[in-house]
Amino acid sequence: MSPLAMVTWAAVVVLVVGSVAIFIWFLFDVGSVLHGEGPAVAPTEDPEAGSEVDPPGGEGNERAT
Amino acid sequence: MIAWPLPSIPRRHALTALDSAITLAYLAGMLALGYAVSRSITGFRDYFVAGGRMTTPLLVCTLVSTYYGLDVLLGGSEVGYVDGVVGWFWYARPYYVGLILTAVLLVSRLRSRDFLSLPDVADAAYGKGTRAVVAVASFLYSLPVFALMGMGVLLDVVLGIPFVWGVALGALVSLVYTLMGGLLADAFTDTVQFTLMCVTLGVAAVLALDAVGGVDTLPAVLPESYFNPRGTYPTAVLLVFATAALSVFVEPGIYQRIFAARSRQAIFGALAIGVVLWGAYDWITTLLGMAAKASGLEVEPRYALLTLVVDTLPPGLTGLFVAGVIATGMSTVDSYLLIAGGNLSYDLYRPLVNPRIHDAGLLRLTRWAITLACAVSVVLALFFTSMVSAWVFVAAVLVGTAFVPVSAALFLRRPLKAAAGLASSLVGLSTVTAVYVTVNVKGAESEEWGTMIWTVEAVGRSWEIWQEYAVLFALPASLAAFLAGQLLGPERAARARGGAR
Repeated sequence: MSPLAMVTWAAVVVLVVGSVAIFIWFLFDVGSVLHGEGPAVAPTEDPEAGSEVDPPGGEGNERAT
Repeated sequence: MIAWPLPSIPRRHALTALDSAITLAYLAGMLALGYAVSRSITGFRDYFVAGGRMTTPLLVCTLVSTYYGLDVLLGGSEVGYVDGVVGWFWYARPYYVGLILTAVLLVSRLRSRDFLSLPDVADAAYGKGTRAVVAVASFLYSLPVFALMGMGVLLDVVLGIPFVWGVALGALVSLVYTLMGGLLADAFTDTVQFTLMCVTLGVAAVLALDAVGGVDTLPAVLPESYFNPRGTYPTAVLLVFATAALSVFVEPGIYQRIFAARSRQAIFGALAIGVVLWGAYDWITTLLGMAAKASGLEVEPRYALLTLVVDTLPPGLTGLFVAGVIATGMSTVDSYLLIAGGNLSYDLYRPLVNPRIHDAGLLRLTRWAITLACAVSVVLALFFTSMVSAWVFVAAVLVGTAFVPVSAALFLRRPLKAAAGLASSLVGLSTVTAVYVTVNVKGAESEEWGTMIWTVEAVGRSWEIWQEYAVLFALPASLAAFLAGQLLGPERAARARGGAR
């Protein structure tokens, strides 16, 4: 088998098997998304962040939630 | 440069009743799934970033299917049909580098602050002026022009609907679907669309390549240049293709998913897996374009992949493939209409006109903005003749406007001045626009390259300036304006510290 054919077959396998595997992973995972309580670490993941500047949008510009 | 009416192509393979039933069942299923999930939306944050609860497999599905639409499916095969593997090496590969660098360099910085959009980043560093300019660039970039063009092509090839009407029909269906759901509904439908587009392309590749005699027959049939990674493009054009990959660093769809991810690990994993899938997808689309050329099909280059596959597949599988192609387009249209609508409502109207707008009002306004974005997209979809040139134009607008100020906001630790961000973004946007307008007014369309080229006599020789070179002018201009603004601009108030870490 030529390198061109090998690369092409590898790409086909990645597309077909990879996408089906990801979809199955999603099915096992969907409950945690639907019933999750939002981000694992919220609202930011950097404990030092958030105190140095105003929220985007400037004064009086409350973030929509 | 008006695209329509496009030349009609011969159709040798109409959809059977079974194919049509499969396609319609897919569309109905997507609408039902979108409706079911959309009922869980409780506010703008839920609608726009799915409440920040997206996990790795969901992110893989929505990233891959959203970022890769019909522009890639048809644009990649267009380059493959015309010039061979250069489509993968110079049009696609730079993006993988950009995506890996995004995961390594940007994710932590972006998630260290409570951002919801790309203009939020510009606002935090420079204020509302730069926010507005970046929002305009993001809006133009996010208009799903190419996905709509692709739907027009698809409906032309398989149903014989004229391109103009196909674009309008595709827009209408997508609009209804988009208005119904927010990002979570979009992402849930993306999971089906992602699987469908990958599996059908993989299966179609096997059958279509077999029909033309197998992969190994391609080198014997096609010119040697088709297997040259540089193809026959001038070096400057290859550079433009690669530079367009800088758009990854300011890509609104990727930013939105970074903000919507449940954790850093979730988005890291999704980007890593996504790069592998994107690489495979690009390779197959490029090769199918080459296979179409090798099979002797003489069609409009952007029709090559669809024509080859629809001609090759048996009934039933054709319907699945058509559903997969529609999925490829829909997953892009709904996601980017959402972003474009958000640019108008959340990024422009709310901070500049009505900062105290309540959440329900913002949601309602966003849906109207999505409708407006859809109408603008239809008009633009009828303007461009080449998927690749259209893609390069909007990528140039986004990169020229946002790359320098946003990168500075994310990476420079020194205080930044509002004037630097505003000057940089405005000059970048103006330069891209000026180059495109000038080349289109003073230049002529090249039949060989399918783009506008302005030939200038200077320094004793003639220079060819392609419209695609705009970003090569815009980036240095934007950087120079940034430095000038930083050196000469007035000091800002205490709020203006240098952006996210």
